[in-house]
Amino acid sequence: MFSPEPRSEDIWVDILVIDRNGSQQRWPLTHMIEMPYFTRWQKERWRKYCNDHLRLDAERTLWKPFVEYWLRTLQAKGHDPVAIELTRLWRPTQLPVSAALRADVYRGPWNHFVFYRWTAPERGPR
Amino acid sequence: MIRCVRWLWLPLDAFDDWVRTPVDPRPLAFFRFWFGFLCLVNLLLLWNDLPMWLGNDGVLPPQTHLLLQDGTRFNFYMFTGYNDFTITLIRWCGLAGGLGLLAGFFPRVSACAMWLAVSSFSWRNMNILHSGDNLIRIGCFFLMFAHSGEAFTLRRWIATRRAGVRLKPFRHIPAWPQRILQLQLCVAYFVAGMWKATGVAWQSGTAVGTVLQLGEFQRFPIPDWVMTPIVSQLMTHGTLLFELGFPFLIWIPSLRMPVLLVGIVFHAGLEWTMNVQLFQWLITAYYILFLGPLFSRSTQATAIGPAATTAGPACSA
Repeated sequence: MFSPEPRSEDIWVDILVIDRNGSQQRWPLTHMIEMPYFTRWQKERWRKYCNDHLRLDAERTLWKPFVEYWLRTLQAKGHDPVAIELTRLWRPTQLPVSAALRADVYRGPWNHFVFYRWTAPERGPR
Repeated sequence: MIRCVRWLWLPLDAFDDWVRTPVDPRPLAFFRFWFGFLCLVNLLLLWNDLPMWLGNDGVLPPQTHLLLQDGTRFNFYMFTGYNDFTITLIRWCGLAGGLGLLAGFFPRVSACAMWLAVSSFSWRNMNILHSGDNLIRIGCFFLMFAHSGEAFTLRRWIATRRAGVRLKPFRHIPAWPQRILQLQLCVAYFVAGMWKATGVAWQSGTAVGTVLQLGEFQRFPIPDWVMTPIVSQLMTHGTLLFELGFPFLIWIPSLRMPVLLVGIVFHAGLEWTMNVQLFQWLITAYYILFLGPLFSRSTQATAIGPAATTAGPACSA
Protein backbone atom coordinates (compact mmCIF):
# COMPACT_ATOMS: atom_id res chain seq x y z
CA MET A 1 0.00 0.00 0.00
CA PHE A 2 0.99 3.62 -0.54
CA SER A 3 3.84 2.56 -2.83
CA PRO A 4 5.84 4.02 -4.33
CA GLU A 5 4.11 7.26 -3.26
CA PRO A 6 1.12 7.69 -0.94
CA ARG A 7 -1.85 9.48 -2.44
CA SER A 8 -1.34 13.22 -2.18
CA GLU A 9 -5.06 14.03 -2.20
CA ASP A 10 -7.85 13.06 0.12
CA ILE A 11 -10.79 11.94 -2.02
CA TRP A 12 -14.34 10.70 -2.00
CA VAL A 13 -17.16 10.11 -4.42
CA ASP A 14 -20.80 11.04 -4.06
CA ILE A 15 -23.98 10.42 -6.00
CA LEU A 16 -26.86 12.84 -6.53
CA VAL A 17 -30.29 11.56 -7.52
CA ILE A 18 -32.98 13.90 -8.85
CA ASP A 19 -36.49 12.48 -8.80
CA ARG A 20 -39.28 13.33 -11.26
CA ASN A 21 -41.06 15.28 -8.50
CA GLY A 22 -38.02 17.57 -8.26
CA SER A 23 -36.69 16.23 -4.97
CA GLN A 24 -32.94 15.72 -4.72
CA GLN A 25 -31.04 13.28 -2.59
CA ARG A 26 -27.27 13.08 -2.23
CA TRP A 27 -25.40 10.04 -0.91
CA PRO A 28 -21.75 10.47 0.07
CA LEU A 29 -20.66 7.05 -1.19
CA THR A 30 -17.15 7.01 0.19
CA HIS A 31 -16.92 9.85 2.67
CA MET A 32 -15.50 7.28 5.06
CA ILE A 33 -14.53 9.70 7.82
CA GLU A 34 -18.20 10.63 8.28
CA MET A 35 -19.28 7.01 8.69
CA PRO A 36 -19.56 5.22 12.04
CA TYR A 37 -16.45 3.18 12.88
CA PHE A 38 -17.96 -0.21 12.13
CA THR A 39 -19.56 0.93 8.87
CA ARG A 40 -16.34 2.35 7.47
CA TRP A 41 -14.58 -0.94 8.27
CA GLN A 42 -17.38 -2.95 6.70
CA LYS A 43 -17.53 -0.75 3.58
CA GLU A 44 -13.84 -1.01 2.73
CA ARG A 45 -14.53 -2.78 -0.57
CA TRP A 46 -17.02 -0.05 -1.41
CA ARG A 47 -14.25 2.53 -0.89
CA LYS A 48 -11.89 0.45 -2.98
CA TYR A 49 -14.33 0.21 -5.87
CA CYS A 50 -15.38 3.86 -5.91
CA ASN A 51 -12.16 5.68 -4.96
CA ASP A 52 -9.62 3.47 -6.70
CA HIS A 53 -11.59 2.67 -9.87
CA LEU A 54 -14.97 4.29 -10.49
CA ARG A 55 -13.59 7.80 -9.87
CA LEU A 56 -10.96 7.57 -12.59
CA ASP A 57 -11.42 8.77 -16.17
CA ALA A 58 -9.34 5.79 -17.26
CA GLU A 59 -12.08 3.51 -15.96
CA ARG A 60 -15.05 5.29 -17.52
CA THR A 61 -16.47 1.96 -18.68
CA LEU A 62 -17.63 1.44 -15.07
CA TRP A 63 -19.72 4.62 -14.88
CA LYS A 64 -22.81 3.67 -16.87
CA PRO A 65 -23.31 0.19 -15.32
CA PHE A 66 -22.81 1.71 -11.87
CA VAL A 67 -25.49 4.32 -12.42
CA GLU A 68 -27.80 1.76 -14.01
CA TYR A 69 -27.43 -0.41 -10.92
CA TRP A 70 -28.44 2.55 -8.73
CA LEU A 71 -31.33 3.29 -11.04
CA ARG A 72 -32.68 -0.27 -10.78
CA THR A 73 -32.22 -0.26 -7.01
CA LEU A 74 -34.01 3.08 -6.59
CA GLN A 75 -36.83 2.13 -8.95
CA ALA A 76 -37.36 -1.06 -6.96
CA LYS A 77 -37.83 1.15 -3.90
CA GLY A 78 -40.48 3.26 -5.65
CA HIS A 79 -38.34 6.22 -6.74
CA ASP A 80 -38.54 7.66 -10.24
CA PRO A 81 -35.15 9.25 -10.95
CA VAL A 82 -34.80 11.55 -13.93
CA ALA A 83 -31.12 12.36 -13.41
CA ILE A 84 -28.20 10.81 -11.58
CA GLU A 85 -24.82 12.48 -11.14
CA LEU A 86 -21.53 11.04 -9.98
CA THR A 87 -19.19 13.59 -8.41
CA ARG A 88 -15.59 13.23 -7.31
CA LEU A 89 -14.30 15.44 -4.50
CA TRP A 90 -10.71 16.01 -3.50
CA ARG A 91 -8.42 18.24 -1.52
CA PRO A 92 -4.62 18.16 -1.42
CA THR A 93 -2.64 17.01 1.59
CA GLN A 94 -0.19 19.54 3.03
CA LEU A 95 3.32 19.71 4.41
CA PRO A 96 4.70 20.15 7.00
CA VAL A 97 2.33 17.86 8.80
CA SER A 98 0.54 19.22 11.89
CA ALA A 99 -2.23 18.15 14.24
CA ALA A 100 -4.62 20.61 12.57
CA LEU A 101 -4.35 18.60 9.32
CA ARG A 102 -5.62 15.38 10.89
CA ALA A 103 -8.35 13.99 8.64
CA ASP A 104 -11.07 14.09 11.31
CA VAL A 105 -10.13 17.64 12.36
CA TYR A 106 -9.27 19.50 9.16
CA ARG A 107 -12.20 21.37 7.63
CA GLY A 108 -10.57 22.73 4.47
CA PRO A 109 -12.60 23.17 1.28
CA TRP A 110 -13.20 20.34 -1.19
CA ASN A 111 -12.77 20.62 -4.95
CA HIS A 112 -15.47 18.83 -6.87
CA PHE A 113 -16.24 17.72 -10.40
CA VAL A 114 -19.28 15.95 -11.84
CA PHE A 115 -17.71 13.19 -13.88
CA TYR A 116 -20.83 11.39 -15.08
CA ARG A 117 -24.44 12.45 -15.54
CA TRP A 118 -27.27 10.20 -16.56
CA THR A 119 -30.63 11.63 -17.59
CA ALA A 120 -33.84 9.74 -18.20
CA PRO A 121 -35.01 9.58 -21.82
CA GLU A 122 -37.82 12.02 -22.59
CA ARG A 123 -41.29 10.53 -22.23
CA GLY A 124 -43.29 10.73 -25.47
CA PRO A 125 -46.87 12.12 -25.62
CA ARG A 126 -49.49 9.78 -24.16
CA MET B 1 39.13 -26.53 -6.38
CA ILE B 2 37.06 -29.39 -4.98
CA ARG B 3 37.11 -27.71 -1.57
CA CYS B 4 35.85 -24.50 -3.14
CA VAL B 5 32.98 -26.29 -4.86
CA ARG B 6 32.11 -28.04 -1.60
CA TRP B 7 32.11 -24.73 0.22
CA LEU B 8 29.78 -23.28 -2.38
CA TRP B 9 27.58 -26.34 -2.13
CA LEU B 10 27.07 -25.98 1.62
CA PRO B 11 24.33 -23.30 1.55
CA LEU B 12 22.43 -25.24 -1.10
CA ASP B 13 22.64 -28.37 1.03
CA ALA B 14 21.46 -26.43 4.06
CA PHE B 15 18.54 -25.01 2.09
CA ASP B 16 17.65 -28.47 0.85
CA ASP B 17 17.68 -29.77 4.43
CA TRP B 18 15.59 -26.87 5.61
CA VAL B 19 12.92 -27.58 3.00
CA ARG B 20 12.98 -31.36 3.34
CA THR B 21 13.36 -31.96 7.08
CA PRO B 22 9.91 -32.69 8.53
CA VAL B 23 8.62 -30.26 11.13
CA ASP B 24 6.35 -30.01 14.16
CA PRO B 25 2.78 -29.91 12.77
CA ARG B 26 1.40 -27.48 15.34
CA PRO B 27 2.46 -24.12 13.86
CA LEU B 28 0.90 -24.98 10.50
CA ALA B 29 -2.19 -26.48 12.17
CA PHE B 30 -2.68 -23.41 14.33
CA PHE B 31 -2.17 -21.21 11.26
CA ARG B 32 -4.88 -23.23 9.45
CA PHE B 33 -7.27 -22.75 12.38
CA TRP B 34 -6.80 -18.97 12.71
CA PHE B 35 -6.54 -18.44 8.96
CA GLY B 36 -9.80 -20.38 8.46
CA PHE B 37 -11.52 -18.11 10.96
CA LEU B 38 -10.29 -15.00 9.13
CA CYS B 39 -11.39 -16.46 5.77
CA LEU B 40 -14.86 -16.92 7.25
CA VAL B 41 -15.00 -13.32 8.52
CA ASN B 42 -13.87 -12.12 5.09
CA LEU B 43 -16.63 -14.13 3.42
CA LEU B 44 -19.31 -12.98 5.85
CA LEU B 45 -18.34 -9.33 5.29
CA LEU B 46 -18.92 -9.90 1.57
CA TRP B 47 -21.98 -12.12 1.89
CA ASN B 48 -24.79 -9.58 1.47
CA ASP B 49 -22.97 -7.50 -1.14
CA LEU B 50 -22.07 -10.38 -3.45
CA PRO B 51 -25.05 -9.90 -5.82
CA MET B 52 -24.10 -6.23 -6.18
CA TRP B 53 -20.43 -6.96 -6.87
CA LEU B 54 -20.77 -10.14 -8.93
CA GLY B 55 -24.36 -10.38 -10.16
CA ASN B 56 -25.41 -9.94 -13.77
CA ASP B 57 -27.58 -7.04 -12.57
CA GLY B 58 -24.86 -5.69 -10.32
CA VAL B 59 -22.36 -2.87 -10.79
CA LEU B 60 -20.26 -4.92 -13.21
CA PRO B 61 -22.53 -6.64 -15.75
CA PRO B 62 -21.01 -9.32 -18.02
CA GLN B 63 -20.62 -7.05 -21.06
CA THR B 64 -18.52 -4.58 -19.01
CA HIS B 65 -16.57 -7.36 -17.30
CA LEU B 66 -15.69 -8.85 -20.69
CA LEU B 67 -14.06 -5.54 -21.64
CA LEU B 68 -11.95 -5.47 -18.48
CA GLN B 69 -10.87 -9.04 -17.81
CA ASP B 70 -7.70 -10.43 -19.31
CA GLY B 71 -8.59 -14.03 -20.06
CA THR B 72 -10.11 -16.96 -18.25
CA ARG B 73 -8.69 -18.31 -15.02
CA PHE B 74 -9.52 -21.45 -13.12
CA ASN B 75 -12.63 -20.68 -11.06
CA PHE B 76 -16.35 -21.45 -10.90
CA TYR B 77 -17.19 -19.05 -13.71
CA MET B 78 -15.16 -21.20 -16.08
CA PHE B 79 -17.84 -23.87 -15.71
CA THR B 80 -20.97 -21.84 -15.04
CA GLY B 81 -20.45 -18.85 -17.33
CA TYR B 82 -21.99 -15.55 -16.25
CA ASN B 83 -24.63 -17.03 -14.06
CA ASP B 84 -25.99 -15.71 -10.77
CA PHE B 85 -26.13 -19.26 -9.42
CA THR B 86 -22.33 -18.94 -9.10
CA ILE B 87 -22.88 -16.50 -6.25
CA THR B 88 -24.65 -19.28 -4.34
CA LEU B 89 -21.77 -21.62 -5.14
CA ILE B 90 -19.22 -19.07 -3.90
CA ARG B 91 -21.16 -18.49 -0.70
CA TRP B 92 -21.68 -22.11 0.30
CA CYS B 93 -18.38 -23.43 -0.98
CA GLY B 94 -16.57 -20.64 0.88
CA LEU B 95 -18.58 -21.27 4.03
CA ALA B 96 -17.88 -25.02 3.93
CA GLY B 97 -14.20 -24.36 3.22
CA GLY B 98 -13.85 -21.83 6.03
CA LEU B 99 -15.58 -24.07 8.57
CA GLY B 100 -13.48 -27.02 7.41
CA LEU B 101 -10.25 -25.07 7.86
CA LEU B 102 -11.37 -23.85 11.26
CA ALA B 103 -12.28 -27.33 12.49
CA GLY B 104 -9.52 -29.19 10.68
CA PHE B 105 -12.16 -31.27 8.90
CA PHE B 106 -10.74 -32.50 5.56
CA PRO B 107 -8.41 -29.50 5.59
CA ARG B 108 -7.05 -30.02 2.07
CA VAL B 109 -10.51 -30.22 0.52
CA SER B 110 -11.56 -27.26 2.65
CA ALA B 111 -8.59 -25.20 1.49
CA CYS B 112 -9.46 -26.10 -2.08
CA ALA B 113 -13.08 -25.01 -1.57
CA MET B 114 -12.07 -21.68 -0.04
CA TRP B 115 -9.48 -21.10 -2.75
CA LEU B 116 -12.08 -21.72 -5.45
CA ALA B 117 -14.55 -19.35 -3.79
CA VAL B 118 -11.98 -16.56 -3.42
CA SER B 119 -10.53 -17.09 -6.90
CA SER B 120 -14.03 -16.90 -8.35
CA PHE B 121 -15.03 -13.60 -6.80
CA SER B 122 -11.53 -12.23 -7.47
CA TRP B 123 -11.87 -12.97 -11.16
CA ARG B 124 -15.44 -11.72 -11.46
CA ASN B 125 -14.74 -8.33 -9.90
CA MET B 126 -11.09 -7.55 -9.34
CA ASN B 127 -11.89 -3.92 -8.51
CA ILE B 128 -13.01 -4.85 -5.01
CA LEU B 129 -9.93 -6.82 -4.00
CA HIS B 130 -7.48 -5.81 -1.30
CA SER B 131 -4.13 -7.34 -0.42
CA GLY B 132 -5.83 -9.51 2.19
CA ASP B 133 -7.60 -11.40 -0.60
CA ASN B 134 -4.23 -12.20 -2.16
CA LEU B 135 -2.96 -13.52 1.17
CA ILE B 136 -6.06 -15.70 1.45
CA ARG B 137 -5.65 -17.06 -2.07
CA ILE B 138 -1.97 -17.86 -1.55
CA GLY B 139 -2.53 -19.35 1.90
CA CYS B 140 -5.38 -21.59 0.71
CA PHE B 141 -3.40 -22.71 -2.31
CA PHE B 142 -0.49 -24.04 -0.27
CA LEU B 143 -2.76 -25.45 2.45
CA MET B 144 -4.13 -27.70 -0.31
CA PHE B 145 -0.79 -29.53 -0.28
CA ALA B 146 -0.03 -29.34 3.43
CA HIS B 147 -0.63 -31.77 6.29
CA SER B 148 -2.40 -29.14 8.33
CA GLY B 149 -4.87 -31.49 10.01
CA GLU B 150 -2.44 -33.14 12.41
CA ALA B 151 -3.27 -30.86 15.33
CA PHE B 152 -5.88 -28.37 16.54
CA THR B 153 -8.76 -30.25 14.96
CA LEU B 154 -12.28 -30.61 16.26
CA ARG B 155 -12.00 -34.39 16.01
CA ARG B 156 -8.90 -34.45 18.18
CA TRP B 157 -10.44 -32.06 20.69
CA ILE B 158 -13.59 -34.20 21.02
CA ALA B 159 -11.50 -37.35 21.38
CA THR B 160 -9.50 -35.72 24.18
CA ARG B 161 -12.68 -34.63 25.97
CA ARG B 162 -14.30 -38.04 25.64
CA ALA B 163 -11.37 -40.24 26.44
CA GLY B 164 -9.80 -37.98 29.01
CA VAL B 165 -6.52 -39.61 28.18
CA ARG B 166 -3.45 -38.41 26.37
CA LEU B 167 -3.61 -38.92 22.64
CA LYS B 168 -0.89 -40.17 20.37
CA PRO B 169 1.92 -37.67 19.95
CA PHE B 170 1.89 -35.47 16.88
CA ARG B 171 3.51 -36.80 13.74
CA HIS B 172 6.06 -34.61 12.05
CA ILE B 173 4.93 -33.34 8.66
CA PRO B 174 6.62 -32.39 5.39
CA ALA B 175 7.98 -28.89 5.75
CA TRP B 176 7.82 -27.52 2.23
CA PRO B 177 4.31 -25.97 2.21
CA GLN B 178 5.10 -24.19 5.48
CA ARG B 179 8.46 -23.07 4.10
CA ILE B 180 6.85 -21.64 0.98
CA LEU B 181 4.34 -19.72 3.07
CA GLN B 182 7.13 -18.38 5.28
CA LEU B 183 9.10 -17.30 2.21
CA GLN B 184 5.96 -15.79 0.72
CA LEU B 185 5.60 -13.50 3.74
CA CYS B 186 9.26 -12.46 3.48
CA VAL B 187 8.92 -11.75 -0.25
CA ALA B 188 5.75 -9.72 0.37
CA TYR B 189 7.50 -7.54 2.96
CA PHE B 190 10.64 -7.18 0.88
CA VAL B 191 8.85 -6.19 -2.32
CA ALA B 192 6.64 -3.73 -0.42
CA GLY B 193 9.72 -2.24 1.25
CA MET B 194 11.72 -2.00 -1.97
CA TRP B 195 8.84 -0.39 -3.81
CA LYS B 196 8.35 2.14 -1.04
CA ALA B 197 12.07 2.88 -0.93
CA THR B 198 11.89 4.22 -4.48
CA GLY B 199 9.27 6.83 -3.53
CA VAL B 200 10.25 10.43 -2.81
CA ALA B 201 7.83 10.76 0.14
CA TRP B 202 9.26 7.62 1.75
CA GLN B 203 12.81 8.82 1.26
CA SER B 204 12.08 12.28 2.64
CA GLY B 205 10.16 10.93 5.64
CA THR B 206 6.84 12.61 4.85
CA ALA B 207 4.89 9.55 3.69
CA VAL B 208 3.24 8.64 7.01
CA GLY B 209 2.32 12.28 7.70
CA THR B 210 0.65 12.41 4.28
CA VAL B 211 -1.21 9.13 4.75
CA LEU B 212 -2.56 10.27 8.12
CA GLN B 213 -4.27 13.20 6.35
CA LEU B 214 -6.29 10.86 4.15
CA GLY B 215 -9.76 10.63 5.62
CA GLU B 216 -10.65 7.74 3.35
CA PHE B 217 -8.29 5.47 5.32
CA GLN B 218 -8.58 6.85 8.82
CA ARG B 219 -10.05 4.56 11.38
CA PHE B 220 -9.79 5.54 15.06
CA PRO B 221 -8.58 8.99 16.14
CA ILE B 222 -4.84 9.41 16.54
CA PRO B 223 -3.13 11.54 19.19
CA ASP B 224 -1.86 14.97 18.14
CA TRP B 225 1.78 14.16 18.90
CA VAL B 226 1.75 11.66 16.03
CA MET B 227 1.00 14.48 13.59
CA THR B 228 4.39 16.16 13.85
CA PRO B 229 7.17 16.19 11.24
CA ILE B 230 9.64 14.37 13.47
CA VAL B 231 7.26 11.55 14.39
CA SER B 232 6.17 11.29 10.76
CA GLN B 233 9.80 10.92 9.75
CA LEU B 234 10.48 8.32 12.43
CA MET B 235 7.45 6.27 11.44
CA THR B 236 8.16 6.55 7.71
CA HIS B 237 11.74 5.36 8.03
CA GLY B 238 10.74 2.84 10.69
CA THR B 239 8.28 1.30 8.24
CA LEU B 240 11.00 1.00 5.60
CA LEU B 241 13.43 -0.50 8.09
CA PHE B 242 10.87 -3.02 9.28
CA GLU B 243 9.71 -4.11 5.84
CA LEU B 244 13.24 -4.41 4.48
CA GLY B 245 14.65 -5.95 7.65
CA PHE B 246 11.99 -8.55 8.43
CA PRO B 247 12.83 -10.93 5.54
CA PHE B 248 16.41 -11.26 6.78
CA LEU B 249 16.26 -10.85 10.56
CA ILE B 250 13.42 -13.36 11.00
CA TRP B 251 15.82 -16.21 10.15
CA ILE B 252 18.19 -15.41 13.01
CA PRO B 253 16.89 -17.60 15.85
CA SER B 254 17.79 -15.18 18.65
CA LEU B 255 16.05 -12.30 16.85
CA ARG B 256 12.96 -14.16 15.71
CA MET B 257 10.70 -13.36 18.68
CA PRO B 258 11.74 -9.69 18.91
CA VAL B 259 11.15 -9.28 15.16
CA LEU B 260 7.72 -10.89 15.43
CA LEU B 261 6.86 -8.67 18.41
CA VAL B 262 7.91 -5.57 16.48
CA GLY B 263 5.74 -6.82 13.60
CA ILE B 264 2.75 -7.26 15.91
CA VAL B 265 3.18 -3.74 17.31
CA PHE B 266 3.63 -2.34 13.77
CA HIS B 267 0.45 -3.99 12.45
CA ALA B 268 -1.51 -3.21 15.63
CA GLY B 269 -0.65 0.45 15.07
CA LEU B 270 -1.80 0.21 11.46
CA GLU B 271 -4.98 -1.57 12.55
CA TRP B 272 -5.76 1.30 14.92
CA THR B 273 -5.03 4.11 12.48
CA MET B 274 -5.80 2.64 9.05
CA ASN B 275 -9.03 1.20 7.76
CA VAL B 276 -7.94 -1.73 5.60
CA GLN B 277 -10.37 -4.36 6.86
CA LEU B 278 -8.68 -7.72 7.52
CA PHE B 279 -5.26 -7.15 6.03
CA GLN B 280 -3.38 -6.68 9.32
CA TRP B 281 -5.03 -9.78 10.79
CA LEU B 282 -4.22 -11.88 7.76
CA ILE B 283 -0.59 -10.89 7.45
CA THR B 284 0.06 -11.44 11.16
CA ALA B 285 -1.63 -14.85 10.88
CA TYR B 286 1.38 -15.85 8.79
CA TYR B 287 3.59 -15.09 11.83
CA ILE B 288 2.23 -18.28 13.44
CA LEU B 289 4.30 -20.25 10.94
CA PHE B 290 7.45 -18.97 12.65
CA LEU B 291 6.42 -20.11 16.11
CA GLY B 292 7.83 -23.64 15.84
CA PRO B 293 10.30 -23.25 18.72
CA LEU B 294 7.57 -21.86 20.96
CA PHE B 295 5.40 -24.95 20.42
CA SER B 296 8.37 -27.27 20.81
CA ARG B 297 9.28 -25.65 24.10
CA SER B 298 5.78 -26.13 25.52
CA THR B 299 5.64 -29.84 24.76
CA GLN B 300 8.12 -31.77 22.71
CA ALA B 301 6.50 -33.30 19.63
CA THR B 302 7.68 -36.80 19.02
CA ALA B 303 8.30 -38.01 15.53
CA ILE B 304 6.49 -41.20 14.70
CA GLY B 305 5.73 -42.88 11.44
CA PRO B 306 7.74 -42.59 8.25
CA ALA B 307 8.88 -39.04 8.92
CA ALA B 308 10.83 -40.17 11.96
CA THR B 309 13.45 -41.85 9.87
CA THR B 310 14.65 -38.56 8.46
CA ALA B 311 13.50 -36.04 10.99
CA GLY B 312 14.40 -37.15 14.44
CA PRO B 313 12.49 -35.68 17.36
CA ALA B 314 13.78 -32.12 17.12
CA CYS B 315 11.59 -29.50 15.49
CA SER B 316 12.89 -26.61 13.51
CA ALA B 317 11.19 -23.28 12.81
